[in-house]
Amino acid sequence: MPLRTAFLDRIRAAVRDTVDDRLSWDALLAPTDDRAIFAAQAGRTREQRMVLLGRLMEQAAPLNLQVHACATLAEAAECIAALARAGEPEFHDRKSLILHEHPLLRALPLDARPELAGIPCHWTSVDDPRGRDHTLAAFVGITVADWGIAESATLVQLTRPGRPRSTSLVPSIHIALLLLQHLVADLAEAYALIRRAPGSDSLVLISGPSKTADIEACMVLGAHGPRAVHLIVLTGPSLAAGPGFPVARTSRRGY
Amino acid sequence: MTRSSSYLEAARAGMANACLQKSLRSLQARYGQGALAAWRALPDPDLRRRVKARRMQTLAHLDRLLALLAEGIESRGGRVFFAATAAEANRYVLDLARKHGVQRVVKGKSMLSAEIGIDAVLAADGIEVVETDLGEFIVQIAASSASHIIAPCIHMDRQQIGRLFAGRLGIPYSDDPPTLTRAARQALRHKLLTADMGLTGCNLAIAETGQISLVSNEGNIRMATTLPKLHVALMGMERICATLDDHRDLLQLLTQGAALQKLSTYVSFLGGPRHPGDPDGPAAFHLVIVDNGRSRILADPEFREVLACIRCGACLNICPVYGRIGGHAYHSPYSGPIGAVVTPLLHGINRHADLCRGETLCGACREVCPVDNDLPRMLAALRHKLAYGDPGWQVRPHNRREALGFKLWRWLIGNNRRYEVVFRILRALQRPFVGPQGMIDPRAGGQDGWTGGRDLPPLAAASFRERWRTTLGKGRSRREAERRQEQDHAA
Amino acid sequence: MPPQTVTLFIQCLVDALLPEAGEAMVRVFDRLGIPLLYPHGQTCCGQPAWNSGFRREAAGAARRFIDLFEGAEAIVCPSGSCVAMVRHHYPELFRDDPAMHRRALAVARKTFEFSEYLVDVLGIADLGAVFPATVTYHDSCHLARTLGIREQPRRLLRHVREVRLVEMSNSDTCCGFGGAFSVNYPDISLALVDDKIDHILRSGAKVVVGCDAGCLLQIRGRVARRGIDIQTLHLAQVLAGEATP
Repeated sequence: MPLRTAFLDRIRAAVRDTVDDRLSWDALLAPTDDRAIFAAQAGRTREQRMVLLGRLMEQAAPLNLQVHACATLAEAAECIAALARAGEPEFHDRKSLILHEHPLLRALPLDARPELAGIPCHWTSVDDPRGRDHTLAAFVGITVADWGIAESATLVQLTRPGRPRSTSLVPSIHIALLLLQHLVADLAEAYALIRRAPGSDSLVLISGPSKTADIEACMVLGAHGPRAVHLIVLTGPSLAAGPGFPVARTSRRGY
Repeated sequence: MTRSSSYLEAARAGMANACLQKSLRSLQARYGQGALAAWRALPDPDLRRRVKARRMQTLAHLDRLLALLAEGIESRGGRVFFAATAAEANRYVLDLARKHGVQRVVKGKSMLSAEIGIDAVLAADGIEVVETDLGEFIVQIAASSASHIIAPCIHMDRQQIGRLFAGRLGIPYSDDPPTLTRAARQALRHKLLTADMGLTGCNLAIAETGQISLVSNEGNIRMATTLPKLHVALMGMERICATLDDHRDLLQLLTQGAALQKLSTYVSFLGGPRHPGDPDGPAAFHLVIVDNGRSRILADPEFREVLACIRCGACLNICPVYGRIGGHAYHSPYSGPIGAVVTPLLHGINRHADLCRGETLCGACREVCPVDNDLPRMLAALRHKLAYGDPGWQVRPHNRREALGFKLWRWLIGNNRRYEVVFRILRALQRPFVGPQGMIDPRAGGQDGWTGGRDLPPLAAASFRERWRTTLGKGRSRREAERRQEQDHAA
Repeated sequence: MPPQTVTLFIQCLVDALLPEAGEAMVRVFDRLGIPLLYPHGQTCCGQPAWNSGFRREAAGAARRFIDLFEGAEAIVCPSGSCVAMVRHHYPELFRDDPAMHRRALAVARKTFEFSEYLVDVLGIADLGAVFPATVTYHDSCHLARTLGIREQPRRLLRHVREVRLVEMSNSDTCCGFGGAFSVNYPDISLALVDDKIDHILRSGAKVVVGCDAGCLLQIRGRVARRGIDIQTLHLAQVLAGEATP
């Protein structure tokens, strides 16, 4: 690739004078030691995680990120159903939901909710030709956040097979579920997890609903992305069973 | 209209724009001062200095880091094109668009795209180009240009935007920002859902992981990089960090410096096209890495550090000059203090001489810069090149009269007797020009210069040195000598 | 121990247009019993040439300055921007000349701004001055940002009897002087000084005090033209008791 070589050669020549003073290549890319961060996360008690939840709620309020604490899947289903009932579709006449194909969402007793009668629930999948249409028609998109960050009120959403990016983006309302044990303190902890997660080249950090203040600095929610974001944190101790922090995410259906 | 008059004319127009002035005032009070306060409150007071050092180390290894980035993206089926010039970048993107039968492009805000002029190239080929960032969209349909790198349409008020939308979007007139925003949301949603290509910039690429990252609050960038089948990202070659840790530090400085946010609403990390099994995401991902004059800046140790800039806009939010004249006076997608340095270096120092000279070097930008860039130092260096010319940068001496003036000045101050004689002559000559209030008559100075708007005291009837000689200094040397004698006796 | 002799470095603007400020500084030092020297050969530190990019001419001025002043014990100047020139830019000017660079550094080490010398070197804050007025202090750019001198002038002002020191908002925002900028880009320069005057007025002060002649000329010139009732004084004038509100 002559163009590329010439391009990079020009750069190399430009920085010739730094050769004596600069770090070695290996030193530049030396990985940091994450062990303390992982130890801190793994060693956190449930009480400490509840404190983080408090911090998350504090930080979320000014960002219009609505945080709901639910002890059980049934409570979470009730919360979702209430939101679906109260919300108004923005671009269509009919209500419908789109949900990520995810065992946690599949485990929600949504069928039992009377508020959802008559509101179709569509599930994303790897190769559904109508997936895009369902997403476009939905006024609520539901996902499971991989991690939450308390300090910045942020959800971390990795792109995974069968779970499209558009679910948390195109519908007017985004609801994300998060297990309490997946709530971390700050960006440093989150980055350590992101670095270890295989196949994590596509991901998004979401810190509230979409917004803009381009017109005379007046803040308006709902520019292009969802105009409302709800984070349902599942706090029930029974849901803490299983690995607190996945070291390797190899299972296709794992989370 | 010469370039120099267009700077002043645009500056005057900016100063006369009441809406712009109001926006700038509130922007600067909130975000400029806010950024300074944020840095003072950092738990680690050394953070910016450390981050700057990492930026410089990154630049020192830039070629290998770009190669590593390309490797990562290509390993996932993405394509990377290294464009030496704007023309090469435009040709590549146009060929791509043609090859993919692109008819509609949706854009995320990208100053680099404005720098290389890609919009006009695509439009000339019959391709519809739609800005989707609300401010950029407004500026696009108003056929205007951005006046701030983060908040593009601060020079327009809600009534203007209301009239614009009524005309162009066919909605009933309203000047209510939520109503107007919703109208834009509707209009642009359709474009975003039906576009063939998403064209974005790149805030920060990460070499270690082979990703690019983009920040936004509106969600348009996420849509433009998710829904169309083709995503093209334009990247200035210096917008890369080495590791994920570097990214973490820079990201927070960027969002704090730009809008006092811990994080922007969305931070997207992208490493290539969609994976097998991804129901959405682009089938094709192309990263266009652009030089367009940056390697020349990189090669000059005097200016190299300007490439550490992360384009947060904090310097715009603190600069008193920018805060009065607005972005249009810079005639460049890069305005404010960073624009004053980068625009001449990229597009011609003589051509943009006013940008080099039209500020007070007050140093506020250096104080607020999250990566510790010393813009005043570089502005002084640019003035140095304009003073004598510089063949390396193809600079002609800017103002021969000024050069002569300083030669004369040097002669004058080279000898105090000379200086005093000339002073006395000028003092005598000024007499007819001293007005009844004891100040230099404004008519003496003409409309411009100092006396156009300010009074000027005349050269003093007794200068300091004259006072020293006649009264203040009298008898001191004898008293000094006596005191020294006493000390010597005592010692 | 007898006090160090202070060698006066009186900037060209003070010498020619505001000699009363230099005179006030002399009276303050006299009151403190500080022996003074004034090298008659001094003319200009070279800052105007430096700011406009004419570094050869600036270097010529710098050489002259170094020759004249390097024998001094301490060099004191009533101007932040000139001190910044000597401390920060003289070494830069002689980057490629090791001998001159050394000499420049040596001179830089003993060059002080007036308020800095009083407070940091002499350890004096109370000069027994009286000034019954509400005053506000303007932080000039080089003094505040390049030299980091913000507290010293304020400490001195607070010890002035009967003075009421109020802070204006944006006290360290540039007044728009910028040397040649004030005549090359007058419209912008005026916009900036009008903002500064706004802040002064809103502070409630009738007097603005500064430590840089350029700023003082800029502010004073504009309030005079606009007919605004604000008095502009150099810090030395307040401390010497030379001024009346």
